[in-house]
Amino acid sequence: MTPSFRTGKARATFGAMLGALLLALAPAASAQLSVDVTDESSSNLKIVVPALPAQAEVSTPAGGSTELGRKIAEVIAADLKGSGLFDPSGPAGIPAIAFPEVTNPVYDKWGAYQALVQGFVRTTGGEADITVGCYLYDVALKQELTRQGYVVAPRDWRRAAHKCADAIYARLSGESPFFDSRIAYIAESGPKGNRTKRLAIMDSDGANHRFITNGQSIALTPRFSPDYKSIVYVSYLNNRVRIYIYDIGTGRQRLVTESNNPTFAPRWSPDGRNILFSMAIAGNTDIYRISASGGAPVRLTTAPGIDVGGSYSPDGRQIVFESDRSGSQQIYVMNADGSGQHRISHGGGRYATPEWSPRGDLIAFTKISGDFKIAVMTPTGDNERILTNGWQDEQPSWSPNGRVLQFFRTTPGREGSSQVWQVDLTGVNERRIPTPLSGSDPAWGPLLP
Amino acid sequence: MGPAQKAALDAEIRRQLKPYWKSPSGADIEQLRTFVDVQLSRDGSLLGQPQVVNTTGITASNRTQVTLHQELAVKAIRLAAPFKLPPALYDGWKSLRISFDKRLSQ
Repeated sequence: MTPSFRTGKARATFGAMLGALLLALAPAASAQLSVDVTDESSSNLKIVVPALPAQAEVSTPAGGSTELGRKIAEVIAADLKGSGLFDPSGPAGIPAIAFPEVTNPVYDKWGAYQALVQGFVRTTGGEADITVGCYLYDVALKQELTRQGYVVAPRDWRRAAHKCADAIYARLSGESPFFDSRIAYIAESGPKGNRTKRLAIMDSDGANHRFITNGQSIALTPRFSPDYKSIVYVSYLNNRVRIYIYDIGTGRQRLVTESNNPTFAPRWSPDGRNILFSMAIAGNTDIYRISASGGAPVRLTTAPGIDVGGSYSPDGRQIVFESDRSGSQQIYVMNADGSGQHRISHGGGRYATPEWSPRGDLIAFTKISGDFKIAVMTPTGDNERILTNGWQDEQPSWSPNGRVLQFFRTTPGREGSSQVWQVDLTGVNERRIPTPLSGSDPAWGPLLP
Repeated sequence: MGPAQKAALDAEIRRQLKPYWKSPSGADIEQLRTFVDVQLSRDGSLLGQPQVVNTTGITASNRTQVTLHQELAVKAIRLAAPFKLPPALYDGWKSLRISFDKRLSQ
């Protein structure tokens, strides 16, 4: 094979010279020619999302079917924009399409875009389920890329929109979906020295916001169970720090373990059967495992100092945690039974709040060297990459597909407050998640069942 | 065909492909490089379908995007064809191995 030539950036004058040069040279039989093509652009894929036409205009508890079609298109476009990979247009400012056009796109209308999302809403009205069709087309190749259909109750129309956006995201990015998921976090209000901290949940885009606790106790570090039925979190009341499991369906909660010692930093095992937590006894903090249904805790670490924040690998075989046994906060990995403990962080500065990606390929953490930043590295501690550059960014939590991280960012000063932010693994696409109050400790749940 | 001709052909083919090559985005995406073999007729149109040879630079983080990377590489070739290249040098461009990658603009 002939060697390839990397001649660098395009040159305007070279093209003009090329024809003359080539014609002047005699042809010769040769082997295969190698050409390297590099995408140096950072522009996003242009997608157009017209409003979804309704088969017939009827009313539902969530609004008229035509209005629903427009709102679904709005959520799809917002999800795609929020991913940072796409530049969506519509449904505002985009001409409406007719119902039969959904499956027979008029490509020539959409020449300014690279991809076209069309869909429809079909329902007999009232409480009856709605059917949402979702189609993705490649405008340049004039071909269908994927189609999906969803049947949901009218009040769950946002889920149909998230699922459609997920199908488009997965087809165009090659990644697993993540929009149809929820987030638990701590909603904060009041002055810095006397802040009310309430447990709250919301959809991945901030919609369907709901407070879980009333603010009499301070809530911290929530985590959804893998089946979304309960949330484990830390409650701080009258100087007592305890872990509770809150049942979302019944509204009841129970202590994870009866103990007079402070317990904190709870995490579910991937199968939902066990909970890891830390317990401080006489100044020594260790990591324990307990069955989610109760029983006696099993101690996993014994080193003097503070061992905290265990997070399971997705296969449940290993646990990443934080320890100051070496003299400063660093990240360690151990087997699920506590054996084989070894340090993986070796860069400068301190390391805190490690979280194993649901994909298994990376560990996210808070890097402390002067400021607090969100960073990732491999489970062997290699290829450390800093993703954010705030004054105080901490506590990363993975999206269900392991491609996006949420964290909270605190602004400096007496009036400084915290907000929930999100960044993707390239570190380029960063945005704030809208919450009604200040927010901290975001915890992203898995894809909704 | 000498080195100067090869370089000129290489640059011209790259110039014609570039508007159509849009890499996926994501972690470690800049490490992926997909190689595609293309056979061209004298009028610059495709002879048969472009054939993906392989993709290099696969890591645990970009593995899920390999298929998409290959699909978009083939798409770029299909959209760029027919290529406008000098017939006199047909032997130099009738058989191409094209590699596609992304360079982050940071």
